[in-house]
Amino acid sequence: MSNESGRFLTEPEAIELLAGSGVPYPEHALAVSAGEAAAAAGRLGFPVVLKIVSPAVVHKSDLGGVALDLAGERAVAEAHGRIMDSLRAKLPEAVIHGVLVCRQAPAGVEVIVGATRDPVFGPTVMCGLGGVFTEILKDVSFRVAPLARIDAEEMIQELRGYPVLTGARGGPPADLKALARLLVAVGDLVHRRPEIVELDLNPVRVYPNGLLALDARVRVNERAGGVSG
Amino acid sequence: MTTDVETRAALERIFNARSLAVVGASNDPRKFGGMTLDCLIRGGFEGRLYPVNPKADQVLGLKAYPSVSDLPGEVDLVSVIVPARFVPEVIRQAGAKGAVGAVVHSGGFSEQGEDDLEAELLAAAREYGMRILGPNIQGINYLPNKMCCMFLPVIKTQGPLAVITQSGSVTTALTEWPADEGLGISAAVNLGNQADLGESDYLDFFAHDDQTKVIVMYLEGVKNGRRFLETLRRTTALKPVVILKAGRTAVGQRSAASHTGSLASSYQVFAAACRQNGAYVAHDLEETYDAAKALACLSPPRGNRLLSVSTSGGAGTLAGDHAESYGLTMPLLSTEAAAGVREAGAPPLAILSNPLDMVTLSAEDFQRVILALDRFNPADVILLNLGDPLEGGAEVAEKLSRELTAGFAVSYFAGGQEERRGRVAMQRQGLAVFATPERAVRGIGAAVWYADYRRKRGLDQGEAS
Repeated sequence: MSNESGRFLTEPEAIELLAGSGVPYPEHALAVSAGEAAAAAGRLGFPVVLKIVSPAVVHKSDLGGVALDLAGERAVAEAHGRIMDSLRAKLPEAVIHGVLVCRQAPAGVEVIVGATRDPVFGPTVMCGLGGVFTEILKDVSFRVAPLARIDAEEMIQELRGYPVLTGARGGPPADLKALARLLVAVGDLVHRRPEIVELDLNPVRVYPNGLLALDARVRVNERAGGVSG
Repeated sequence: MTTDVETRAALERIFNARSLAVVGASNDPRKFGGMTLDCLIRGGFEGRLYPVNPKADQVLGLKAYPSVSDLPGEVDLVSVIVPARFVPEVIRQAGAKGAVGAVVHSGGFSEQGEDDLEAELLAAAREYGMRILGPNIQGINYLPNKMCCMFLPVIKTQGPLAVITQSGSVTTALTEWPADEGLGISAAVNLGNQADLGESDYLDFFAHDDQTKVIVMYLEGVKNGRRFLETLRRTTALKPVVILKAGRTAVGQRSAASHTGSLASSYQVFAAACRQNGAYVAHDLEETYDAAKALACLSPPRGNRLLSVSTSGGAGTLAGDHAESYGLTMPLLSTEAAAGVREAGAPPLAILSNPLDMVTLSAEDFQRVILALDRFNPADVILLNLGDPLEGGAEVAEKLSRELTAGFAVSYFAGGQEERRGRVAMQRQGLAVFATPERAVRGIGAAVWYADYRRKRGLDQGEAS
């Protein structure tokens, strides 16, 4: 998709776009200094995650732009310093909007939900299980947007790793209704908004009750409609 | 813009043409113009046939005309096999003679980079409100009109399948197999360059064609993805569609900018999009045919439970091996069912399980046992595997297919002439008959998939009463 132009939204922009479509995100706040980050973390409740917010950074962890498991205000302030140092060293020219402070989400079954524009069929939605299922086994399923509820259910059921979602590993079953709702919502969003050329929610944690998207990468091209939906 | 209804009406007139001019008809059986006229004659076309050839008075025994303009009276359809540069003029003459459409077999248009010539062809057709099939196609065969307007093969066995393909050799396989087995086809259409009429137009036509029960498509790509999916969805609400897509392993040329982008191979999206809209997606030619046959001959299964009944143990085992990978389950017989079968008089050595091994070669035994079993609702589809010639097997199979509550399919294997004759005899009676247990299971899997698609979307509600 590199031949298509467009830009990646920053995470706060992406969250705002998704919030209107009913995509649940952990509680969060944007902070422009170590002090603000620590204060925000105090309000949100520990532990928290810090993530760099910069239009120049798409792969945040590769550039040392993410810090996890921060249990106190001091840890937050220190992590803020490390993130800024790393960014200034690796991308000295980058415009930095601040850091996103997110309440750290509990463990859950991880899935990946995405959307692209197929050159033939237009907007499509993808679903896969996180980790080796997606990366090694390519265990993913697709549907063309918009999705009916039954389409979303079937694309979850056809994953080879489906038993993982229903509790095969001894855990409680994941909330598949919530996951189906998310897939339908993402399908509606990319169907309605032709400027979205690519969207990735990776990972999404699915719990026995509900789910949370932990990262959102959205590429938009204001001039492009892609294949119209 | 032409509407679907107008296009369907035009195709209705094209496929039911009562007069047909073959432009470029030749006495030379090695030339496409000779082969096409020969196919029309051998296919038994009953309308008026006009060979057009400026250098002959007669072609294959029919009076020939120097040009389309010289034809006596009007003509419904022209079949065009002349060099590409002459085609636009042929179209204009045909338009002036009132033709509804032209089957342009000739190549040498956009597939050779001659886009301007194809545009000229299209402009000529539009000027007269004509529709173009092709260019660059083997042709069309519509059996209800005995119109084999194709340079090969001549298929005359009429049956339930309409075959739409983007390849001549695939057309041959997917039409000759059902003809050889006694199943038959309603139509065959080649897509070619699709300058005017395309995959969605033909799909829509056959969706509404009473002579067609199942539509089979071999596609390399589609011209208009969204329209194709919408047409597919409307079609599969009416009848089954089986699709074979070429290029299964070609991974889409996408950069790895994101997981989603790098994982979206175009085949996977294509297959998912077709399934989402009700088409059964097959992986190879044989599966395509098996799925189409089962969808045409098997009554819609109520569920995915399979009971396999065999003359020999091996057949049942082979069927069982494949059942799961095609989404079928093989539940054990209930104790009531086993007792019921014993009471009805099962052969003494029979193994009453699933697969059920009869250890008998008496057709009468099969009939008695299977009818007795059916009362206990042991499965949604019963598959009878005949590993050896079975005296009276065709009659029993036909009776079972009428009387059983469960769906019924047969595999009649081993390669002898006796088995082949048996298969054709059963096929002619409209049974779902396969050459091996594996192929039967594959076909049943397709029928189960489609029935499930319809059930989950409530497509059969209101029809039951």
